[in-house]
Amino acid sequence: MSEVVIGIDLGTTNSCVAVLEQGTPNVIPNKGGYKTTPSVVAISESGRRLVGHIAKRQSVTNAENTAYAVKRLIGRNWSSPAVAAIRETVPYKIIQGPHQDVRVQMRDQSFSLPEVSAFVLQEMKLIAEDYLGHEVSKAVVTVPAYFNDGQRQATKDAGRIAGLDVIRIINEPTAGALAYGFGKDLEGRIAVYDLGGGTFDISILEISNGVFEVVSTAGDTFLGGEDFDRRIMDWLVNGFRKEHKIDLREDMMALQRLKDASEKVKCDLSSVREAEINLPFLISAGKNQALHLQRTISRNKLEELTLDLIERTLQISRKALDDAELEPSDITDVVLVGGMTRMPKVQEAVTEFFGRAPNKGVHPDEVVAVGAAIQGAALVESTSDMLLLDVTPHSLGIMVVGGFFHRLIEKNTTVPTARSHIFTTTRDGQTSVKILVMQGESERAEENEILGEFVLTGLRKAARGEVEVEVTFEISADGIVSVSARDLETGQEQSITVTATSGLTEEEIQQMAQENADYAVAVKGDEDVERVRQQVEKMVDQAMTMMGEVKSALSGTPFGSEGLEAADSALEEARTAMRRKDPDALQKARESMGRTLTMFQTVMDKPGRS
Amino acid sequence: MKGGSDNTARALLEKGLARYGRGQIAEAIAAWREALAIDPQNDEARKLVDFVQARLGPAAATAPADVSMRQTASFPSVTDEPTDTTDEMDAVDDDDFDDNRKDTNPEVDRTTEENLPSVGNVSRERKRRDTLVSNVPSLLAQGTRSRNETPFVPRAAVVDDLDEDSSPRRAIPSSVPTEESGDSLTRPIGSAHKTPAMGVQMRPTATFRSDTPLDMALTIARTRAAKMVDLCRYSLETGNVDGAAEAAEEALEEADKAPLPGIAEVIEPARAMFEQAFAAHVGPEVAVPVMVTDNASLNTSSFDHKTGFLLSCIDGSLAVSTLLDISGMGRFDSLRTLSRLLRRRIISFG
Repeated sequence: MSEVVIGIDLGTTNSCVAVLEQGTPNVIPNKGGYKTTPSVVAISESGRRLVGHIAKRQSVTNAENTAYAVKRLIGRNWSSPAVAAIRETVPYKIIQGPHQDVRVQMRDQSFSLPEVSAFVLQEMKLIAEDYLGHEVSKAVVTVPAYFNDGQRQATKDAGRIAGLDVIRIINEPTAGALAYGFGKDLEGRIAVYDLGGGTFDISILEISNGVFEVVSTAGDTFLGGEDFDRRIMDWLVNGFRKEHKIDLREDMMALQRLKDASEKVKCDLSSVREAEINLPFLISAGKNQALHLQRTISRNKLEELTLDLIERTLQISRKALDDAELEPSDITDVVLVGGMTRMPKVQEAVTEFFGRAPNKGVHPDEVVAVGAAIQGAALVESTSDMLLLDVTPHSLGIMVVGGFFHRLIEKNTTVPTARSHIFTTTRDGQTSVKILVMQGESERAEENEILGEFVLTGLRKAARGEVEVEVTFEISADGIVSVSARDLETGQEQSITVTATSGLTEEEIQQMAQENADYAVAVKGDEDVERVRQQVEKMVDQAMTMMGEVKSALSGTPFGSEGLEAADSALEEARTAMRRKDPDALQKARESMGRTLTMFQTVMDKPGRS
Repeated sequence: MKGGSDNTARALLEKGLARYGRGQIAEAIAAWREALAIDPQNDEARKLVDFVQARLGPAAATAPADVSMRQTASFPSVTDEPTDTTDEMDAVDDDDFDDNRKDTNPEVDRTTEENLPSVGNVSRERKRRDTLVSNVPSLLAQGTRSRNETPFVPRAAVVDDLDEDSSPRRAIPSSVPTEESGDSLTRPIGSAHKTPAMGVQMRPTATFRSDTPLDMALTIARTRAAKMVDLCRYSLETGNVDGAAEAAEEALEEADKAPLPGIAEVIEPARAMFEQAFAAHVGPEVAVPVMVTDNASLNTSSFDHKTGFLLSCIDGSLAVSTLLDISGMGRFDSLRTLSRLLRRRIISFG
């Protein structure tokens, strides 16, 4: 039997884990029974690490110590404009790491972004292990199609820190299409419309002979379900202000409840036409008095509040089609991904835009994880004939004279691939050329990301344009980029291998992985101690219940006072151990309380007692 | 002209204080109101009116002039001579109790009752507790103390200015041995170098003075809070976690009601013990609380929004430890709120 590989959709707002069991994909629910888990991490006042629903439920009241949507930051450089923009919008503290990377500060600790993502991945791993009943070490993790090498590498590092070997990173729309096409002979052009909690992505895929290729992708990393929630929240806040002259935004607890209620009512309105929001004791109005909020919202009202958001997704969809030089009518299937696509108005808008009803065969919240699980199984099962080809998310090239960017490999090129181009010298007598390897879409080299550089020396002294240098870019199936430059006259060659980095060193990754493993052991240890403490507590309660009868049964007997003294001593010992939560003392207390209860039971079972 | 009205307002303020000092509440309020009429910006006069009204209720303005503050200060204190035992306390009839209390201090008692929570039989419980507090020393002297036989002595406060005829030293039952430090009672003999129970610091020479009505009000608050601190400790030591939590709550409520600058010197040293009391009352942190009140009844209850928030988190799946983490109000307040909800039978642990 081959090893189990889980598929993880590591989302901006929610994550999901699935596994392929006997040919059937299964989405694994968490302890609370939910099939998605919020990608939220927090450190509580007591220093406890909170992940998922628990972290989300305190995300407003403990906003400074709650990291969410770190996917928008992962793999980015501290000086990138995106980081500067995000820093302005999140309540948690984003700080500069030692390698120009980005870190998050919660309480007095700083965490790298792969670490924060690792906490979520670890939670998904534990959910899978609980379900499967054994340890899981391999995973396929999905990322947005536009993620660059650094972002993909950071996601892989997050997996390592979480104790997972990420055997493949695949694009989310590809995973969505894989799940959609599972068991079918899928051919044609598919649009994957992904409206998640915090981001919107639209991808056009070309599927032919089992080969999945992303033709174009577009999106908005700041458009998602949370924006819909915020509209409902604003409506509630404004209504309450009109009625009571109180601004609920000034109270974090009220805001947290409003946020939760807005999300819930939004989900409810996907299946009912009208829903009620009832929040008793929402805001104080004097000592021991609080005002309630009770309102009814209709589906029409929600649509009215969010129409412009839906419009924006269609504009972006238009751009993706333009990039692919396609018309909506060229699309053969539309796949919906993300919880927000459950909203009837969204489905209606998508149907109208593409001129065809979207496919509803797969759950939009789960489809990406299912695709990842299918891919995971295919990678370890030798019988699988499924071929999944990755594409380069960005164009690759070098800087040429004038500060321009010359593309050698266009974005969305299927990998593995190799491309060459011949360049000439630009000055008379030039004996060396500097190859600056870059990634990006801008014509201006300075606006793209530098991946590496090297110098080819020993060129023949000649007039400019006479010496020819061939530059070759190669991308392996694992996404490793190699660039070489060869003097065509002498055959002299220089090369560089570009390895993507998440901003963490190998030592740091190993150390973080170790700390994370230690933390998991410590948490488990605490749970064990608590379990023993509860057992001791039950035993003490039981002994106290029996004490009266035992005392009367033993009164006047020679054994009586001695036995009761021993019982008293055991009870005292147990109470002290429970108070101190000392593991050894609790173990001892459990044993001595066991003896005490046996003694009590013997006394009570003694024949002749009525 | 401003200076002139200041002088007149000042004179009325002083007059009101003098009246208040003699227990002539209505006259005092009238004088302060007159001062306010002359000088509406006079904060001191406004605070005095607000304070006395808040403290004594709306009836304050028409209170009989012959009720003296000296009587107010004679609210049964930790150091009063004990008059009851546990057995006797159980036999105390509510009506008798009310009658006894009316004789001593009608204003303060009435206000105290009005400030009690409205749910359940709290009022009766409060009376019982008050009786118990005043009886604690004698109860212990009669053999109901904890197993290690440490005599119970009030540790949190010593009141020496309430009644010229009853010094605290004399009020301690003769069966409880004490040692002296300066002119005030500190701790029982034999416990001089022991860590105080439940992590509460002993305050060796707290002396509450009552030179002005506000001082006097503070003294009353301190005294009551100190009694509750002692009761909380006693309850914890004897394993009565319900009583400990209730006493802690009473002490904190007393602190909430106390006029500025407050009674932090009584409350703060006991805070760790209060937390322990609430935690003990709530029980194991792995336990999962559930709502036992229907929504209709809940909506007619009175809570602040923090309690409302915590209630909204109680969904039958989250354990106490998680609620403490997500409550957004810190461990102490969360435990206190959970304990309060448990006492009011809004939640239970199955």
